[in-house]
This record gives sequence, structure tokens and C-alpha cells, in this order.
Amino acid sequence: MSNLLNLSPKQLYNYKVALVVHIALLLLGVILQNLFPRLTLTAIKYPFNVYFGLGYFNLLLISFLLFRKSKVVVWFCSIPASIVSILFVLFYTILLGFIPQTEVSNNKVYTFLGLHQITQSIPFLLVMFFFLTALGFVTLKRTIPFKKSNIGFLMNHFGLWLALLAGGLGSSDLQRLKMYLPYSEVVFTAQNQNDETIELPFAFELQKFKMEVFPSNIALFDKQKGEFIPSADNFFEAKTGNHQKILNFNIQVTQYLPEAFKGEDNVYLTSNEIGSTTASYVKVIIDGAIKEGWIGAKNKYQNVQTLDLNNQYALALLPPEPKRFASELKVYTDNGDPEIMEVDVNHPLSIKGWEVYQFSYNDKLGKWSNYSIVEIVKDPWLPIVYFGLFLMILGAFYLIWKGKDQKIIKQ
Amino acid sequence: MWDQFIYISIICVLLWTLSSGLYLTKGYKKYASSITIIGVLGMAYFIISLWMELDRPPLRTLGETRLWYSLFMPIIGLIAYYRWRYAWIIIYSLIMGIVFLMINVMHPENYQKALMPALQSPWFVPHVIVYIFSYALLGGSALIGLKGIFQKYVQHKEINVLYMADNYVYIGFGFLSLGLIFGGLWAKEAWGHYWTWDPKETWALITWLAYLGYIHIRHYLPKQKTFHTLVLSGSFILLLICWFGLNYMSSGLNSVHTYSN
Repeated sequence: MSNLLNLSPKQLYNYKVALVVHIALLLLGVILQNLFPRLTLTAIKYPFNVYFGLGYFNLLLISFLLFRKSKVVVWFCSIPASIVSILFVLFYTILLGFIPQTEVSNNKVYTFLGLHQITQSIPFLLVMFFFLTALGFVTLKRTIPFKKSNIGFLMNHFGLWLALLAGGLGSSDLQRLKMYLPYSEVVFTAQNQNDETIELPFAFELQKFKMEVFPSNIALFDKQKGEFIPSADNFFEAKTGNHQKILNFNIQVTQYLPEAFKGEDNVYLTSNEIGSTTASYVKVIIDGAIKEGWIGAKNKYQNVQTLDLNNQYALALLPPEPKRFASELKVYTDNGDPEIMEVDVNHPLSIKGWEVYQFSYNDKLGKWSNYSIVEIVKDPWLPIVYFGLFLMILGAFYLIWKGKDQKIIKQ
Repeated sequence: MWDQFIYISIICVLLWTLSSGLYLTKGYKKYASSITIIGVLGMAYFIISLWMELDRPPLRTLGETRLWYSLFMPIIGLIAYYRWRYAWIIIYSLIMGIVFLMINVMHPENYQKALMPALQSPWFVPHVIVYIFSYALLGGSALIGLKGIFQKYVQHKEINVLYMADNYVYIGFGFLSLGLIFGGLWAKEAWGHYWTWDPKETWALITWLAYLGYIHIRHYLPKQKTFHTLVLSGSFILLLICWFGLNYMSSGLNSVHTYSN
């Protein structure tokens, strides 16, 4: 390996030190973890994580300013420390990528080393802590004295440092709770991951769970080939009044029922009872002749109903696709009258410092679900993380625009 | 509007194929970009018309999202070309633009296949596009890495191609970082948190760290070229695992990136 790397003895020595330090950190981590199994990052909660973060930052800054020339600081700022640190974080992340993560593991080796829950394990935290410290020192080294040419470097390095530090320290203050909301019940508590009940500064009352669908599509089915015909015009929305020509079939949607049940003689009637499906009455003109009838989409409760056009083709209605899952909530807060709000997938609500997400519903009943579950999330450290990510985005644009400065490579 | 799609596609495919050829032909490069732009305008015209017809931004279905790829791939490719003068990256973008058009032409059912609600996000298109660019550039760098290995072990020569890979890795890594961060910002809106160690996220991070390692090794150990070529190729293998391999791994089964339903 040393031959492959072609290192000078001094470089080699620095790499060996970095390697030894990391192995020592891992050993220390394993010992600590088995001595104090409850010790995790999430044990440091507000306000102690703020003290820790400020103290850590000051320690980095002061030790850099006062002992910049000292062996330890110089070594932390050195390339071997950075490279070995990156490789150890990479190594641990690869373990994460291969070992399924579970709360408890039957594998004794995993449990001993903390590999079944890596992100909570002390060895991983120490490796990350080293990474953060080296990154912090390197950032300081390029910041003081400040040079304009370092700006891209700083956006990438400081942005990552800030996002990692805030994300890590903030993980203990991150709250992700589930609120189970049956119809017409005012709920002012939520459950955390350990099923503990937490009281909230607001209350929700589910007015309506909404599962909206797009109108069903009509498509021409080739019975002999057993597939829908691949044509640009095939698949069109079955809205009342829509018409389309597919092959030599002139198809006209006379009526579209978004909620229907099949009655006698295959006639569909509007009904919004549980199990209703979409149906269309269609008129098809084939070479002057008219063929008409009901088609209906298949769901858990009803079979598909197609319309035979000739020996080869039949017209079918496809099951509708979900458009949105949303909950209409009556929101009670202590500032005034309750408000009606809607929470949608991809569109969280913000209430009193909490973000509210549509999370789940009774999928056996689908749109007739008798409850909705929302997730509420509080992450007070998010603005700091986002500021770090924002710097990294700028840094990424810088990399894309600047590329690699070939002058720097000392060939 | 979709009934006119085939004509727009034919026009774009012809124009972009022509301009790809011109980018490779001496003396004609200056015409190539104009021809590319005519195709881009054609795509833009189609998307705007579709938007007006539908009365909503065409971002609801799979087919509609692919239109945006076909619009933006050539645009970013042109910008990259004018910045870096890599003919292959503009040609690659045009080919990818054509591929997405062809997928739409051959799978018309995608025009109406609605995206599930969690995917209905303004982050979808940028997230995918930056990854397509990133993978192209990093793939390019991996080929150079292989050439380096060939030079060293087969031709027994000095490795002298790595400087070509440097910009590819930097630009590709920039796009890779954007993809990772855009994914996080999207996840926060859709699933409540920007980072949940979802298997795809973990592997995206592995890929990112591998290239981060490469950049630092390359920069600070400039003489170890054999090692560079090995790291460069190895990083791309991790990228491929992230891209394709994850679907076959037990730890990847619960990823939000497997849209089995």
C-alpha cells in the first residue's frame, strides 16, 4: 500500500498517526458504548446542546487562534487527518448501507459494536466528531486570514460543518409525533416513537379526510394481444362530453359517474357508499354503426365492466389514480376562534412552531377512511441546517462553474 | 395537444441529431448551437401550448415530467458547453433529451399516468436533472480512470489522462451535491425530515463521500496516479450500486425510492 501510495516517510508517519487515532477512537467508542449503553447523542437535549455547540465552537476558535502553530492543531489541519477522516466516515456509511438497521439485533457482534444502530452508536459518533473537528480547523485555517480566492472553499466546508453540527446537535430536539384523528373528536395530544403521550399547544378536530382522485381514463383494450393499444390518443379522461377518435372508433363519453355501483343489467347508478367506483356511459361510432353501454373501473369491491367493440377490441375504464390525500382540520389555538385548515401530502401546515404533515389513513376503507393520522414535526435547529445547506448549494454552483484549478496541482 | 407530440418529437430528434453531428465537425460548430436552440424552442412551444390547453402546469403525469427533462437537458448542456467546451457533454445532453422524447413516444400511456401525491413536487424535475448530469460527468471520469488503469497495467506507460477527469469530477460532484441537497429539501416537504437514513439516501451519501475522498486524495497527493485511477473507478462502482444495485439489496427494500405500487 505504501508503495502504491508512493509517500514520503514524513507523510507516511502522519497517515499512520491519523489511522492510529481513528482506531483508538473506535475502541474507545466500543468500550464506552458497552459500559454506558444508554449514552447517545440524543441524550444531550436543549439547552445543553446549545451550550455544547457554543462551547465546542469557542474551543475550536480559541485553540486555533492561540495554538495555531502547535503540533495538535497543525495535525488536525493536515491533509492526512482530513483524508483518513473522510475514509472512516465513508467506511461507516458503507456499513450502514449494507447492514439492515434495527432497534435490537440477535447478532451479538453487531450489538457489541453497535452496528445494528450505527447512527446512534458511540464509535460512529466519535468518527463523526473527529470529521467535524478536522473540518472545523481546516475551515478556520482558510478563514483567518481571509482571502477572496477561498470563498468557494469556505462555502463548501463551512456549510457542511454548520449543517452537520446543527443537524447532529439538533437531533435530540427534533420531535416527530403522530396524531391519531378520528372524526369529530378534538385531539390535543400526540404520541412519540416510544408511545408516550405529549400534550400540544393546539388541538385538531378532523372535519373530513379527503382522498381525491383524477377522473378515470378510458382506454382501448386489444383482447387478442391482451394489452392496451399503444397509441398517442389512447388513454383519455372519461369526463362527460369528452370525445376521442382511437383507430376507427369515435368514442363519446355521454356520462361520467365518479362514484357509482353496478345495478341490474349492468347499469351503473350514482352512490357514494363504501366500495363505489367510477363508471362511464359511452357511445362508440364504428363505421356508421353505434355501440353504446356502461363501462366501470375495477376496485376491491366491484369487478371491471368493459364494452366489447368487435372481436378484437374492447373499451375499458381504468381505476382512477390518486390526486391528493388531505385532511380538513378544525384548528384550535389559544389565539381566538378555531380555524379550518387543510393539510396535504407535500404541503405541510405550520402551526405554533410545528410542521403538520398528512401521514396516513385507514387504507382498508380508502377515501371512506374513518380517521386520519397526521405527523407533527418540530425541529428548532432547521434554520441553521438550512443555512448550511444554502451555503453548500452556492458552493456546488461554484464548483460547477470553476471546475478544478489546474494550477494548484503540484505535479 | 398530445396528438401533435409525434411531430415535435420528430423535429427535435432530427435537429438534435444534426447538431450533435455538427458539434463533432470542424468549422460547423457555430451552427450546431443555433440548431439545438431551434429544437429547444420547439419543445418550449409544445410545453406552453400543453400548459394552456390543460390550464395547469404539465407536471402531473410521468409523461409530462419527461417533457421538462427534454427541455432542460439541452439548455443545461448548452450552458455547460459554452462554459467548458466539452462537445461530448452537449451531445450527451441532446441524446438524453432524445431518449426522454422517445420514451414518451413509445409509452403513450405515461401521458395520463398520474404521479402519486408524494411525487407531485416542484423538486421532482430539478432533483432528477442534476443527477442525470452528475452521473454523466462522473461516468465520463470513470472511463478516464479505466484508461489510466489500461495505460499503467497493459501499456506499462505513465498515466497521463487524469487531468482530463479533474473537471468532470469537480463539476459532477457539484451536481451530485445539488442532487443530494435538493432531495433533502424535497424530503422535508413530503416526509417531514430532510434526512432519515433511507437506504437510497445512505447510498447517495456513500457515493458523495467516495468522490469527496477522491477530490482530496487527488488534490493533496498529486503523485499517486495509480491510486487515483483505482479510487476513481471504485467510486463509480459505488455510484452504480446506488443507482441500480439498491433494488436488489435486502437493506434497500424499504426505501421510499422503490415505487412498487
